[in-house]
This record gives sequence, C-alpha cells and structure tokens, in this order.
Amino acid sequence: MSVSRKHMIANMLGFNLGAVPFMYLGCPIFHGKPKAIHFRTIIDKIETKLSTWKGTVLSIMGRVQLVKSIIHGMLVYSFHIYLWPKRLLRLLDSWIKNFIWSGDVLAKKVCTVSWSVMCRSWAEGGLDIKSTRLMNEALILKLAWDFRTTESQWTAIVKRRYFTHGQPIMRYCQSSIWPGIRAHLGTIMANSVWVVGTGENINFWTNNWLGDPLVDLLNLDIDFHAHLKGTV
Amino acid sequence: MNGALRLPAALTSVADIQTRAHEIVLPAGNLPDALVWIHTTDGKLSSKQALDYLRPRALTLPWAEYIWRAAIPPSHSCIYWRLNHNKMPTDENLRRHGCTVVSICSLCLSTDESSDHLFFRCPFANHLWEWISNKLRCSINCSTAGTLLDCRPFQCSSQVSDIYLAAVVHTLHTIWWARNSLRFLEVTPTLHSAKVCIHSFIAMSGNVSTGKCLPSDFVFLDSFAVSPHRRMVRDIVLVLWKTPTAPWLKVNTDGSVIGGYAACGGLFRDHSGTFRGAFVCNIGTHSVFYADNGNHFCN
Repeated sequence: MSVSRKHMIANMLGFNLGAVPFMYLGCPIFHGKPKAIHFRTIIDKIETKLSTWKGTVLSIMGRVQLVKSIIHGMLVYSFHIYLWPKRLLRLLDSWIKNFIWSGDVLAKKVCTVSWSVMCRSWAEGGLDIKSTRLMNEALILKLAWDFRTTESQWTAIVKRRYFTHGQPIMRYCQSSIWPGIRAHLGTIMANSVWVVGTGENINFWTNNWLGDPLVDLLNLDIDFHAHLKGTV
Repeated sequence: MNGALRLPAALTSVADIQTRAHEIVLPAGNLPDALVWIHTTDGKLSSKQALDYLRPRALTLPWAEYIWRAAIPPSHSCIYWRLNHNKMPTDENLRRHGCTVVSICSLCLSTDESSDHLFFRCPFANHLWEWISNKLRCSINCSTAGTLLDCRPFQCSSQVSDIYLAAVVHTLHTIWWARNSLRFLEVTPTLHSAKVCIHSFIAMSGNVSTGKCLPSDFVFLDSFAVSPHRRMVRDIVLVLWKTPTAPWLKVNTDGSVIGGYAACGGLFRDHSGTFRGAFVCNIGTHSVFYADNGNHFCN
C-alpha cells in the first residue's frame, strides 16, 4: 500500500498512522512468526522484576510463590495468543529456576532438585510449578480448540485465510497467531470425536465420528484424502 | 438421515463399520455437529485440562500432598521435601556435585556429614527423635525420610493428624537450624533450646490448624499446648414419625462414611411402632451417596 493511500485512509477514518511492532493493551502486535525480539519488552520487565526483588531475604518457598503469582501472571496474557520461541522459554525457565534456588537470576546453586521434578504436581512430589513452555503449549492448545469449536468473527477470518477445502494450507503463511494454532490442530483431531447432529460440517471420510476416521478403517491412501468431500 | 444413518452400499459390507454406525444415536431435532474432547467428561477443553493433557505424568507419592498443609510453614515443609529427594546441601551432597569441602558433622564432631547421618544417626538428632516419639506416644521409624510419617495412627481426627505432621517437619527443621547456626553463626544450640523450639512450632501449627478433633484427643492436644478445635454440633431437631397402616411395615434407613469406609443400616417397625427387625451392612470403600443408596441394594 502506498504512503499517500495510507494517509488518505487515515484522514478518512480519523486515525493516526502507526507502525508495527507496538504494544496494544500490554500485548505486542507484530508481523510474521513470533520471534524473541518481539517479546523483548516483556522479558526485560521480568528480568528487572526478578533481579530487584529482595530474593535473598525470602525462603525458597517464598520465592516459589512470587514466581507463581507474579511472573506467571505477567506471561499468561501473551501466552494465550502467541506460541513463544522455545529458546526464549528455556531462558525464562532457567531464570526462574535460578531465582527460586538462589534468589538471583544468574547465580546457579549446586545442590538442587531437578527442574522436571519441581514442575510435577504436589501429589507427585513436586512444587506444582508450571514450566513456561508447558503453559504456553497448553494455552495455545486451548486457543486452537476454541478455534475449532466456536463460531466467531476471528475464527471465520482465520478459516477464510488459512484453509482451502476444509484443510489447513501447508505452506508458510505470514501470521503471528496461525503457526501456533496450526501446530496443535493435529493434537485436537487425534483427541476428539464428532458428535453427529445435522452432519453438515463433518467430512464423512476423513473426520473422526465413528471412533476412528473411515479412511483409517479402510486403509485408504493418504494422497486420496483431499478428494473425499462427502458429509455425513 | 431421518433418525437412521444411510451408509453407502459398499461400506455396509464391512461389519466393523456397520456395528459402529448402529451405535451412534442421532438427535431428533436439527442440532449442529459438535466436536468433543475425549479426555474430559463434558467434552469441553479448559486451559487446566489442556495443561493436564500435555503435562508429563509421574507416580503419585504417598507423602507428597500430605506435607503441604496450611498449618505448616511452607519453608519447613520444603526441608522435608528436599530431604526426600535427597537434595539437602549437606557436605556429602555438595561433594557429589563437585565441591571440595572439608566434611565434619557440626553437631557431634565425630564423623563426616551426610544427610542420613545428620538427620537420623547423629546423637543430637537421635535424642530429639526419641524425645518427640515419647511425646507422641508412638515409635518413629527414622531409617529414611520416607518412613518418618508412618508414625501417625491409621485413623485419627484431622487436628491430631496435623500435630503428627508438624512434629516430624519441625523436628527436621530444627535439626537443620541447629546445624546451620553452629556452622555459620557459631552459636551452640543446646538440646533444651531445640526442644523448646520444636514444642513452640508444634503448638503454633496445632493452633493454626483448621482440623477438628474428638473429645478423646483433648489430653493429647493439651500435652502440646494446643487448644482443641471441637467439631460443630448441629442443633438437635425433633421430627415426627408416623406409624404405617396396619399390614405394612415401615423401614427407616441411613448410611454413613467414616474414613472412606461406608456402612448402612435400617430398622423395621409395624403399625403400633414396635420393633420388628433391623439390618446393618458394611459396604467397603464408597461415597456417602453410595452408602445411602446402598440401603436399597441391601434390602
């Protein structure tokens, strides 16, 4: 879009021209796949919070509580929308781990219970800490589930943009939320069953409404799947 | 459609598909199709269930959930938790992770320090365990951290159960505190001060506890300076019982659950209100709802 056209639209609607990336209600808005650079503001905020807290005067459990109530709260908002880069989440987890054990983000302690054990639930002998990676995955899975099961404006837009013939587009699409949703569509299909109503939205062959998809029951070739379009 | 599925002729020959299709109940009205998550009962997926689905599973441990009680400070429970994972920063564990330290048990100065020695074998710790088990009137098995909590009775009221937990957790905490104050502050804690410390912590936990107790526990709680939390007794309400008409018998039934074990019973009376018979039945581990319903099965 040319600059003059932009200005014309902005004048017409009375908006100010902005540029991505920017923060909207505490959540970064940007083009393309989520990258570490987009979450810099949130990460920096967390780092200052972790290092200025008087971590050393608290007990281990006190610090666990701080992490659970404050740090996780700061993250959860953008976790609902974006699949964060894994490298960034690993970094966050290591900060949190160091903070819990030593009260300092960068100081490593020698004798610590392993991170995976700490992340277990209370009953399994852990501290019920949720690793940021898992939190992110779970919330995106929820987002993908909402996408599949609810009818709203945003699902309609996403369906129009990223689906052809009821199948997700396989090539890369420039979007900040689609990569996350697409990664979990498979999990949802593998763990859900269609309850037949009018049958208009269920693909007779490829959707799972009999307990297993018909194509699997009949061992049909995978290249053939795209041609099967009948509904129940 | 219209109440039954019409399958293409080619598919009806496959028996498996045929039977599966017959099991599907079609709605009478025009309901929309719905996608259902198979791991939940209501078919919906909440964030919590999503997390539960993705979380790696581990075995539940018998002590694990029990140690995190509102009455016990989490920093004290944490020592028990860490000890159970054998990750207390004792000299033995520090050495194992590559620290070169001179190791000697600060409390007895006779041998090198390990988690096992410091918390269970050292004379200082042994004395405290003996003292606390005398006070609890039970024997504490201090061979490993896992067996410490076996001392609590199989069935006891919740406040008493909290006292047992508090005794174990606070004793461990006090041993660790004594070791640290000797090593880092160079203050020598006496056995007496350790006992006073444990006693006051138990009293605090017992008083804070939300558990309730029975009248028979009063003496036990009193020995720890804990004020008993009585169970609320509901007001007794008078109800009317009408006799049945002549040939009929009336049966009144009830069920109850104590400590997971359910039982039910009932009694029969005739038109004049005279007792004609009764039954009781032990139905093993069930819920209250089952116990109440269990009556009808017994009949």
